[in-house]
Amino acid sequence: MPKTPSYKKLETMKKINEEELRFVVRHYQTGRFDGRKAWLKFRQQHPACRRSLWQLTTKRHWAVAATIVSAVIAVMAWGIYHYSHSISSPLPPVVPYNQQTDSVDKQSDSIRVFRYDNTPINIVLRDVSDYYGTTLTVNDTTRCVSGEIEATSLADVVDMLETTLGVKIQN
Amino acid sequence: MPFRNNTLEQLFRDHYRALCIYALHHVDDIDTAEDVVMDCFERFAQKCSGNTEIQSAKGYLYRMVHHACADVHRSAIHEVSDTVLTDIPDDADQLVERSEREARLWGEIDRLPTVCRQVFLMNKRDGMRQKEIAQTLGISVKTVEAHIAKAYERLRQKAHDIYLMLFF
Repeated sequence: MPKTPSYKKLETMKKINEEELRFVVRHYQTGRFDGRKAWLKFRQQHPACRRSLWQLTTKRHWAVAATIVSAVIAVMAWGIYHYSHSISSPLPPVVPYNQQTDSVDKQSDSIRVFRYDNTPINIVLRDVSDYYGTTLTVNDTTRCVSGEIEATSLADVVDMLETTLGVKIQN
Repeated sequence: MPFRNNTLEQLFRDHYRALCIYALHHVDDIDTAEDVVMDCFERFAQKCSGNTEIQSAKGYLYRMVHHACADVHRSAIHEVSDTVLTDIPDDADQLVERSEREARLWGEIDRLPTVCRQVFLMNKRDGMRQKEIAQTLGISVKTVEAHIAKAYERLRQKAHDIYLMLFF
C-alpha cells in the first residue's frame, strides 16, 4: 500500500530537485541517451541477437500482415468481378429470345431459311432487310417470332410475317 | 513469470536512458556510460535467448549495470584508488528512482523548443547572465526571461507528474 503524500509534501515536490537538475544539465547533450536511436544501433550491431530474439515476433507479424493483405485482395477481386459483371451484363430483356438458335440459312440460293426462337420482330426484320438489302418497318414491335421461315423472295417473307403475326410491314 | 523475449525492445526503450544516467552516476563519462549499458543489454539478450528465467528484468538490468560500472572502476583503479565500487549499497533503490526522475527531466529538456532549450542551458549549465544570452543570440532580455520561465515551468510540471506517478 503506497503512502499518500500530504498536501505540503506535494507542494514541495512540485519544486524541481535542484541537485538532480544540476546533474542532468551538467551532462546534458541534445539527442543523447535516446532509447529509440540506441535500439536501432543495438539491432545493427547485434544481428545474431536480433535474429534469435525477434524471429518469432517477426514471423507472427508477417503472418498477420499476409492474412490481412490476402483478405483485402480477395474482397477487392470479388467486388471488381461483381461490378464488372453487373456493367457488362445488364438485366435481360423482358421477352428474351434464344440467340443461339437464330440463324439465316444461306447455303441454298433457291430456298432461304430464317430460324428464330422467341425473337423480337424488329430483329427479324433487321435480318431480312440486311439479307435483301432493303429497309423494313413494322407497326407493332412488341411481337416475337418463333420457328422457320422459308421464302424465295422478299414479298413471300413479308407476306408470311404479316399473315402469321397480324401486323403491317412496310418497305 | 519468465521474461518474454519479445518485450526486449520495450524494455530497452523504457529503461535505456535511466540506465545510462544510473551508469553516469558511477562512471561520470557519458560515452562510457552508454557503452556499459549497451554491453549489459547485449549480455541480457544472450541470457534471454538461452531460456534463462529472469524474474525482474528491470532490477536485473540495474544490477548488471552496477557490476559493469564496478568493472570499469577496477580497470581504472589508479584514477579512483580510494573509492572502488564493489557491492551494491543499501540506498541503491533510491539511486534507481533518482536516475528515473533524472531520465524524465532529460527527456523533457530534449522536448523543449530549440531556442528555449538553448537559452535554458546557457543560463543553467554555462552560468551566463540573461543579458549575455540576449547579446549572444541577438534577442531581447525579456525574450530570454520568457524562455527560461517557460523551460522551468515545463520541467516543474514534469517533476510534479513524476512524483504523482510514483505515489499514486
